[in-house]
Amino acid sequence: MTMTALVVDDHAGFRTSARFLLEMEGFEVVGEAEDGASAVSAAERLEPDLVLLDVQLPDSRGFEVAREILSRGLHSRIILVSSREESDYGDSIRASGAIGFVPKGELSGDRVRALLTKDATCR
Amino acid sequence: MPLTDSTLRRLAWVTFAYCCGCYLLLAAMPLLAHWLGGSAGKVDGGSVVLGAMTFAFPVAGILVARQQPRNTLGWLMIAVGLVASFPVSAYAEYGLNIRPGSLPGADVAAAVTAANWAPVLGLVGTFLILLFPDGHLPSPRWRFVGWFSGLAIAWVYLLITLMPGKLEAAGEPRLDNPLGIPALGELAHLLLPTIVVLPTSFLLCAAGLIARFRRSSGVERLQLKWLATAGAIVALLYLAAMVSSLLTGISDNQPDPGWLLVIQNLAVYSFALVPVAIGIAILKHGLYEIDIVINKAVVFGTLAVFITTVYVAIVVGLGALVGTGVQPNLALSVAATAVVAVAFQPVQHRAQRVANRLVYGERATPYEVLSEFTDRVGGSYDAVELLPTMTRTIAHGVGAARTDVWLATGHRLVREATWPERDADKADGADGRAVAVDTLSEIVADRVVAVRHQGELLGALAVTKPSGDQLTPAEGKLLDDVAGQAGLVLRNVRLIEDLRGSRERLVTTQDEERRRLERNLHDGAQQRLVAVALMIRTARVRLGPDAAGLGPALDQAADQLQSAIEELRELARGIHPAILTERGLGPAIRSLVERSPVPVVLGYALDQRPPAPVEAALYFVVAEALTNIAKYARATQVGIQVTRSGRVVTLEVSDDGVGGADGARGSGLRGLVDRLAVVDGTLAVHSPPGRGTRLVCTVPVPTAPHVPDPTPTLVASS
Repeated sequence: MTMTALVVDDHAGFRTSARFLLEMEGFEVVGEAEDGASAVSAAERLEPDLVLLDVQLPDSRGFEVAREILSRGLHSRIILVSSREESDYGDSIRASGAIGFVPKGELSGDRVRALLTKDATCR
Repeated sequence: MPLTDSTLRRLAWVTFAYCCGCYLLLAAMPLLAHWLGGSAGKVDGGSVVLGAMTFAFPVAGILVARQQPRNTLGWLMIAVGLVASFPVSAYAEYGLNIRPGSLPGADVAAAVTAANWAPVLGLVGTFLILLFPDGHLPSPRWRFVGWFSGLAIAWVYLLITLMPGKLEAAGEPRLDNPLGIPALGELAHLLLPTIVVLPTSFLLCAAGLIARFRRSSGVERLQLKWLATAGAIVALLYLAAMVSSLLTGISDNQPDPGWLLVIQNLAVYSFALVPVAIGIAILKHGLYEIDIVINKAVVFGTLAVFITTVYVAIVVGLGALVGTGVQPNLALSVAATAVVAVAFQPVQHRAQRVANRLVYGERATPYEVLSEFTDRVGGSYDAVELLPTMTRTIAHGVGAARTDVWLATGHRLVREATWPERDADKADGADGRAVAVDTLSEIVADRVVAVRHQGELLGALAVTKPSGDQLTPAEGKLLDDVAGQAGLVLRNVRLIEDLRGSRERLVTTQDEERRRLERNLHDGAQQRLVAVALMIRTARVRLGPDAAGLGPALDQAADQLQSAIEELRELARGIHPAILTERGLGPAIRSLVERSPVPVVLGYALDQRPPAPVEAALYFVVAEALTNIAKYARATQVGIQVTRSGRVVTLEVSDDGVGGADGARGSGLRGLVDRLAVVDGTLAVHSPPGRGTRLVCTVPVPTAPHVPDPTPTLVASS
């Protein structure tokens, strides 16, 4: 069964690339959002299996958006992305409830799939 | 029906007017005698002097009663006048001397007024002293002294009035006391010594005054000093009159010389100083500080006694021993002068100290306060350190329970220093920040004195006395004087604060600028490069394995792009590391350690994040130190320790390299000293040649746990 995905980033260029890479990997990208507030409402409406979530958003930070989405009882799995390094954020990533982090420069279907598989085996 | 104040006042005026009438009558008696040509050639000047002196009491009394009709002292002083001017004595005078035999019972009248001096002197010496200055006893325990004094006055008056014998005391030595009880005459030798109860009651009341003085302060103390000074002058003049009359009395039986009469009259007149002092003290009309007068009087008095004693002892005493007789010996005079000259300075110093203690108690004299203050201003004291010292000095100088120094900054007044210090913590806000007000009138204190310099308001001194106490005029004057001197100090403190503030703003702005630059690099250029890299990869995937022969070129472009991104990331980190903002000092130092080419042993022992400026300062110190070590030190091992002890965070970076680091070479460190100074930090470099380099950095931090600012919370629009 095809997994659905929501891409959240304020850069249209990144959203396009991410949509393509995810679709190449067999995801169905059901929506895009460009800030935290619309991300939360889109997630509630679409209930995607995966949310690819940028850390730096115009109205808030990915960590809070992740917590907000998960607090609404949605079962979406969230992967944070950023142009920064994972070490810049440390514990914040795990604390937000996201299943992992991928630097934007290294984003690929493989990396996403790997994190999802790892998460599935951990559960 | 209770008497109203105005009724009391009217009553006082009526009594005073009656009293004036009596005095006029008494004063008219000698004139009347002269006019009628009676046998009154003997009207003695002494009684006129005495009468004029006692008139000061009702005058002071009416002045007090007019303003404070419920103060017993006013009424007491009027009563002294009433007794002293008792018109019955005029009746006796007329009936016995001016027109002998013209009035019935003139001899009885003379007998009744013969012992008038007992209540006059008695009231002045007892109740006036005991009830001064508020008309109440020092405490209920002194009630017995009041009763004792009252009974003593009555006893002495009755004893003398009823004692048989000639009426010498009434100026009628030929007349037998018509009221005398013969039986008492036999007991006279037993009864007369009991007159001693009157001086005893004087002593008891004086003890009451001393007790009151010891626990008094402020205005009351000043009032008591006025009375004490008047009393002391009277006592001294009486002593002088008595001693001189004794000395001249011994020599021969000639009439008293003129100068002795002057001294005696002066002594009698000086009694008027007592009501004057009481009146002034109670009415507080220009209650000047007489401390300085007492102080100088004690010093000069002591010196005079000292010089006289030395002179008499050497010239007369030694002279008698050597046998030069009464002729002064020149050698001895010279010796005496020499002794005085040598001992003068130390004696004066001692006397001054005794006088100071007498007048000011354990407190510093106003002069000492001012001179200490000026010394410190002129000395090398740190201007910021000076403020707490200043509050303490002022508090000691004026006997304050609390003193604050306020500093004008911008349009507000901020409290900079408080004595005692524990009050400062109490009064500060819960966040530990200083209290600030908009205007001088908002400062709560007994007295607030503005500090100005060239007309500009620089701050204020605020003094609060212990409850129930007020600032005396001299203390107020001292405060004004210190405020006058404090202008320069506050100006300096403000300059330093301004400098600190501007440096802080500079570094803060710089930090903000660096953070903004870093964000722009990341979120602008780098973000775009990352997007481009991603697109290239997307294109590469979309074109398939062979990629129409473009595969290698695309791969190369992607690699170049990745390098550019890495370089950009390094650049951004140097400007302001995101990890420092995001995760704090510990992880940020750890990331530096991970990239260090020389192995580092890190000990990080802070459980809370220090404030952002402190984190930034310490981070850049570590970054600069590690860079320098990698470049110059040729070290094999580096140790970094971050510890906290109380309010101070200490960072220590040490290596086993070549040492000999100097400030000029590590110029990056020099720049960091400024950054550290903003957060009150210090940096010390120990780098002996060949023995490694040790760098120690200390920064004070608030005791309250510092919680990093929370990032804005998300408001969902669903």
